[in-house]
Amino acid sequence: MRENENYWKRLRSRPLSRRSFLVGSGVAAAGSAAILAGCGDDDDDDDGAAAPAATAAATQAAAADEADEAAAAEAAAAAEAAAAAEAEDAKRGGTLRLWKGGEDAGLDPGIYHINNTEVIYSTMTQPYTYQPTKNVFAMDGMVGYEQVDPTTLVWSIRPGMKFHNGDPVNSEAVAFSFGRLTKLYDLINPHTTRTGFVFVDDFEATDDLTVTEHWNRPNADAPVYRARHYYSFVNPRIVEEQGSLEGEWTAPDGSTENVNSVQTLPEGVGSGPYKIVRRDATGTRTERWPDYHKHTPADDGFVEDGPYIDAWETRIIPDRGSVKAAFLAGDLDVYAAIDPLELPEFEGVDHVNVVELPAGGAAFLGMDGGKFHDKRARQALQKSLDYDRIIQTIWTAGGKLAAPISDLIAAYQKLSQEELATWYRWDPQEARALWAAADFVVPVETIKLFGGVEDPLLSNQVQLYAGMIEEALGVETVTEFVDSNTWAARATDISTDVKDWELLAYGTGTAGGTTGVPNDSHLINFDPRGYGLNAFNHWAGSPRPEVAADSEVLIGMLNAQEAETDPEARAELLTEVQRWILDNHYCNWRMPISAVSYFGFNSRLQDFAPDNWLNFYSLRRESMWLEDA
Amino acid sequence: MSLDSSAQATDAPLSDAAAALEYGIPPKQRFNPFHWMRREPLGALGLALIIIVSVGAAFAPFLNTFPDPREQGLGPPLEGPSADHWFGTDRFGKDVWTRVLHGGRISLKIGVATVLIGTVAGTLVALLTAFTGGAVDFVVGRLVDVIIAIPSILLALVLYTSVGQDLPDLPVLPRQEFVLVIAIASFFMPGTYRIMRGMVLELREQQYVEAARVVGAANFRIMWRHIAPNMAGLMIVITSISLPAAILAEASLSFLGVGVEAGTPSWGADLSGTTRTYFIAGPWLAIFPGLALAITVFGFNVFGDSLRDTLDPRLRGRI
Repeated sequence: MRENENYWKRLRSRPLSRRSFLVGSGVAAAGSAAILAGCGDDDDDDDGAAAPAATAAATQAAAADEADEAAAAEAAAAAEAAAAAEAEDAKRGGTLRLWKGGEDAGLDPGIYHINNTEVIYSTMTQPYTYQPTKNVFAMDGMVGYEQVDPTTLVWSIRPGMKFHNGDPVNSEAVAFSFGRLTKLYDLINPHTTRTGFVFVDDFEATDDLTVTEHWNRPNADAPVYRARHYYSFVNPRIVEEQGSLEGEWTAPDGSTENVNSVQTLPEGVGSGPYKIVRRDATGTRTERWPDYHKHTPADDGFVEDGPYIDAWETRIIPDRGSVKAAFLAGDLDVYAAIDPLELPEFEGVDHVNVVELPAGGAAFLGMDGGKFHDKRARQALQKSLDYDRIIQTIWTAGGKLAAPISDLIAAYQKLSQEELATWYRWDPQEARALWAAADFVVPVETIKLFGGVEDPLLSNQVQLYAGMIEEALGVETVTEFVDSNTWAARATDISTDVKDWELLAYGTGTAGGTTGVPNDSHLINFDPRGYGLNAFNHWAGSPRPEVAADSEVLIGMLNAQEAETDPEARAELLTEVQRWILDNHYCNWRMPISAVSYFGFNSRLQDFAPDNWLNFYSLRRESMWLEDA
Repeated sequence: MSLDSSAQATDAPLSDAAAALEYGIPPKQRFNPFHWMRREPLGALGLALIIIVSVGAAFAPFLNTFPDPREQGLGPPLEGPSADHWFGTDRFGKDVWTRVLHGGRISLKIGVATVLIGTVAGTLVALLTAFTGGAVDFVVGRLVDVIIAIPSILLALVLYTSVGQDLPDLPVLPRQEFVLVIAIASFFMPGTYRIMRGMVLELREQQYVEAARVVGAANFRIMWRHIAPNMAGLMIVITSISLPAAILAEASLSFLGVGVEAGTPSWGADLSGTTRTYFIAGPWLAIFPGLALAITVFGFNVFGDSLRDTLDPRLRGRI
């Protein structure tokens, strides 16, 4: 036989054609599928085999005499007690594994950015108060406060606190931090709630551990406002030496000073229990700072020798499907806002603990006051939306109408679903008539609904709204979705009288909590000094006279309710404010939200206070720990 | 048979066959589709699949069960295949059958546009530079080397984000689709250039090209009349083989969230985003768009192979 006639040599030298490869791959794939189908699903077989064994064991157990049973029960109880004692003695620590959708755009606590809270809340001592559960707050950076008179509040700073570089946290640093925040607002409009401090005339360091706020009018929410991370203490020395210049601020007396930001969070700028050790495109990691001060007295959330958790690891995972897979695989500890349609997937998973939480989500459709200055135009938009259909399509497990303030603030929310339904009324004919009658300084030929691209749920909601508006008004609608940072920049661009969009969509209404402050939840979205100004061209200085006049009225009403310290009287005022907003279709429109919300927690996470996960406060809960640490 | 034999020719007109024998010209073969189908059964299957998918996409407005693929609330969310919804519904009650049909339009449109732009541009650049030679050929060649060195999806992503906002809306291609086409075409062009350049270098040395030069034909005429027509076969083959890759690239980019506008039906986009969260609760969400994508790509692949074998069997195993 000649050498080249060897079969195997010929087979090896035979060129593999693309077609042969494709056919071969197809056959291999089909074969693999068949093998998987044939050999998979062993669980059922195991169950089937296990069942008789279990039955046999049960029969044997039933045959045992009563004395044996008693002895067994005693032994079991002893074992349980021992396990409980062991768990009590177990090391409390571990790495909490979280996720977020994208990188942060900055870490300065005074400048609002999304995707940065897990770092800010852990690295900063969150002044001045911490709210472990809704409407209840404990002391964090402060040890107490005293309302000396209706317009004077005195805070006592926690002794012994220091920044990560060893500098003391004293009244000078606290006053500096507060002043820097207000100046940042004047310079760069950092997209947060100005209403948290506009009533403060003067903030002074009284002595080393005391600061005093002097107000121009009473404010019922001030102590809770100070629980927001914007008011975190920053180290004056580090801010001055390593901060980035944001601008020159001019005081009322004409003097000027430079104002710096700390977007990279340089070493030593914070005083919180953790220090950031990694921040890159894959996520962030903060690790416990060994020199963190003792937190006394211990209470719900704070422990004297805390925080227990050793490190927080936050992975960036843009895709929610991958997040769910990671959570189900046990690689993440929290999976927020579970769609009820997903619930069956979590059933029977050993390490998963799904908790039903109060539904306080928010979904908004804000209107550009530069274009929709005529109330009839705004009313037309709102009447073009079929709220029942929105609820049926989006909120499969039940939805509800949402008032300007959250119904989670039960003490202040007096508007029932029935009353809300009188405003949330779909009437395409009336909508079209109102649209035709409305006055437009800037012609609106196309209505652009603008949203963030990160959340596909939002894009589906927005497309549903767009279709309804187009159908009802006969006006072409377009949708645009961009990344969240671009979205925020374009949403808050106040350089022109009109926006490059008509309707701004944000919030999906899936889950959320409340700080207990009506302004945060969610009056700020209507406030002519808040998002009304920052995002919707609805403010007192608007070039559209009717918008300016409405804004003045609303500011008066908002000030009045904030100054009212009697809860009952304030609830009445808040109801009036909400009715006024709804009657006047002012600025923004809350869309229907989910009636239920579900959160998934890894069963190794202990003492996690589920409600706190709705509103960031979990991030300061120092008593949390991980079982298998 | 040598040309000398022509000296024996008579004045009587010759038949085609006789002329072929006489002058050494191979006889013209009439294309017989049935013969081709018997010879290339896989190619025929591929063609059939392409026709089915193309007809489905072209006649989507007539074949769909609901007029608007974006419309939500057409049925209960995540309902399995049924008489009302042949391919089931998605999380928002959209009809999956309707979306698969309309998704084919986007995928095929972007695939075809991408390959046409990439192939035509690559061929033209190859023709101009390889024929001209010298510094131009060298510089363009190195530039293509650099582009090829960049991972294709990364290149597409960079182009998508950098030029995405500046492109106009075209009547047949909205801006976001136009961006996709440019982004994907950008990584097909260098490959086409490489293959075509080799062919131009080979063709420009042919005797008929030299003959054209001798009779004073201008460079442009030589390129257009003598070289380009000989590249057509290879170009068709490259097109047919690149098309499935282009469709997959569109699906990949849409899957990565930088494809068509949110809500637009596209096989790739429908396999990503919210949908992926519900693959376990509603497996039909993955099965049907995935199957459509796989069938189309398979069809183009095997048809492209057969086309290559038919048009130029010498290329078997080379592309």
